Amino acid sequence: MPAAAAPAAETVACDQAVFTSVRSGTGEGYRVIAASPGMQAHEKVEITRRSPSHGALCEEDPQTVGLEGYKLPTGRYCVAWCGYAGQEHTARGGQRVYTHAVLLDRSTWRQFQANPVAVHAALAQHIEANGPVLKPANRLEKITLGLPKPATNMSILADPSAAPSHAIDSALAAAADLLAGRSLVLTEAFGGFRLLEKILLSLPLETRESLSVSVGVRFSPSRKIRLAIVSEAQGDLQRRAAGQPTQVCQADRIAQDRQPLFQGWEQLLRRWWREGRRQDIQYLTTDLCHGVSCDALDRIAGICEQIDALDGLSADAVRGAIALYERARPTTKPEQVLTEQLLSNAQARLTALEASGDQ
Amino acid sequence: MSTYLNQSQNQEAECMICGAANAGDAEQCVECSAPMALVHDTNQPQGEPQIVTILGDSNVGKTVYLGFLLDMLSQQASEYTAVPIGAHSVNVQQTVISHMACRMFPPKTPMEADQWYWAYYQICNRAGRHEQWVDLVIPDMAGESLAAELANPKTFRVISNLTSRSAGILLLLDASQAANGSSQPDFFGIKMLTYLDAVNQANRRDLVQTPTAIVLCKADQCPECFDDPRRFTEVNLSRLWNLCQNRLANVEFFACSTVGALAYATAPDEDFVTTIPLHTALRGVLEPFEWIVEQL
Repeated sequence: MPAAAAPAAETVACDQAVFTSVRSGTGEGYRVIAASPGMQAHEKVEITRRSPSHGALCEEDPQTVGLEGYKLPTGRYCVAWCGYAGQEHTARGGQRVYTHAVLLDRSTWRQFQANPVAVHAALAQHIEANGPVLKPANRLEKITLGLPKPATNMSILADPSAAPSHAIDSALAAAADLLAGRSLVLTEAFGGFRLLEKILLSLPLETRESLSVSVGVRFSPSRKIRLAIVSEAQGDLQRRAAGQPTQVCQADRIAQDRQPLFQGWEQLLRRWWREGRRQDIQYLTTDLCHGVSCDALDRIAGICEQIDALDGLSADAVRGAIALYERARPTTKPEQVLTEQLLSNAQARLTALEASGDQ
Repeated sequence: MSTYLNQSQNQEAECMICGAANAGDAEQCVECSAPMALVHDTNQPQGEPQIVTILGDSNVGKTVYLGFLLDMLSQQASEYTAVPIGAHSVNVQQTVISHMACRMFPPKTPMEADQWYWAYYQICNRAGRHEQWVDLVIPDMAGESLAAELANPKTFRVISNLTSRSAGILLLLDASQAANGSSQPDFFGIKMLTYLDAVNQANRRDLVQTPTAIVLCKADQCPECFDDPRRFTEVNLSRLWNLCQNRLANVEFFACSTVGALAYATAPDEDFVTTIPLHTALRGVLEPFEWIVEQL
């Protein structure tokens, strides 16, 4: 039997803008040199304000790549690929920083699970195939990006269980700090993208879809980034961050000697990350946890723990769990859904135990 | 645990440029990124320093001009003595002099305000019978930030705060481009003056009173500029000239150059040309500043 043709990859079209330094008839230096017609004036201002300019990438390697993600005043979310594109055109030393930004409306952003690393990967493919835009253009068409494959096959983090455990602990500690409303600058020499993705996927969708983030772009207070992952010297970074409402720490030390802020939530996700249950994490944080406050997270995690524990329970213990959760009055939608799932799984488990005669 | 939270541990300090409250240990203003050292260093009996702002398009030579100006002042050029307040004030001078000594222009100024040079000097004019001391803060802004602010005011609030508080303006324009027929310096100049008009909330009857020196840079490439800067502006930057006459109450025109000779270099594997300053030849650097100080 002939193999079925692979389905065409799903794509989305979105507005784009290029911010870099070129010389033209109307000026020179860093500015938005080209944009698709859908970009609005307020969005242009925000992109100009936040995009990295001369010397703003953490590394000087010509292959260095950075990421920025932030919400625009119009409600759209901007994800930018930052890198070098040859020498700065005035040849006054240094390389030209090239920033290619895409603007995602809410539904498109959610198609990417509000994961800027996935958007960045799709954008990187486009730039690799087409090259950077270095000539000012009056009009730039919308860009077409491929949507990410299902969670288990997503790039960057192909095998979470293989990740060192301190990376998981660091990601969860950072996620908890962000949930508590703090701003973070994490120093991480390698694996900044992997860390960012793990932190973000450990946050409920509604928290991460408006979070401003960056990787590989020098920390600047004027950029107002909530989560910046950098590879800068600690001394200089701490000097610049002094007095700013920002916590600076090394990524591999953030989890040390701390009291968990969301103990149940962190414990569940730590176990799931280690078990490689990325799909479950994505379902929980992206599809399930809508409209819940941070205090509900521990309760939600408790129900998930109970669902996981069912397989090891005796029939009496399963009956006890059924009785307990039938009396429960879940206050949020995710708790209701999970409680229903728990009761359904418990009933199935009880039926299986009774059929096998195992009491 | 190496983690630490930067919190206000000392008394709060108010930013000199935007007035925002900052933690006592902040090095840069949390709102506008101006160095808080300006505030800490200003605890002088003379009170708040005056701000002189250098404005100009990208690549016009603001950093080079400021670096050489401060270097001349600190070498007691003319009747002036300049004392830098804080080591950070010397950075721009050091960067410019060390690069030019190696026959290189200094690197581009980044758009991020926290990366700008801020020079804070006490200037003494010994020309008259009495010494006249002036505290001056002179920021070196990125031309791109200025252009972005002109296109969309409030993009960089630090710029509007600076220009509204400025006691004097040095507007640098590329004379060589203007002499070659480019309208870019002319348009940049009128945009900048229009912006100053708006920042000063001047109406048609009230002219902008802030002393403004129009500095025609790179005049070594169009020497006629030195003969009569006013006439040069009238002919080559006519739009700007007309606006100056109509909107500025206190304006003067100067020609200036810092480089004696230029070379252009490239390599077979390079797709760009590097401009090399072979030697410096300062001319007209001090005069616009002297004029501004006289007006204060």
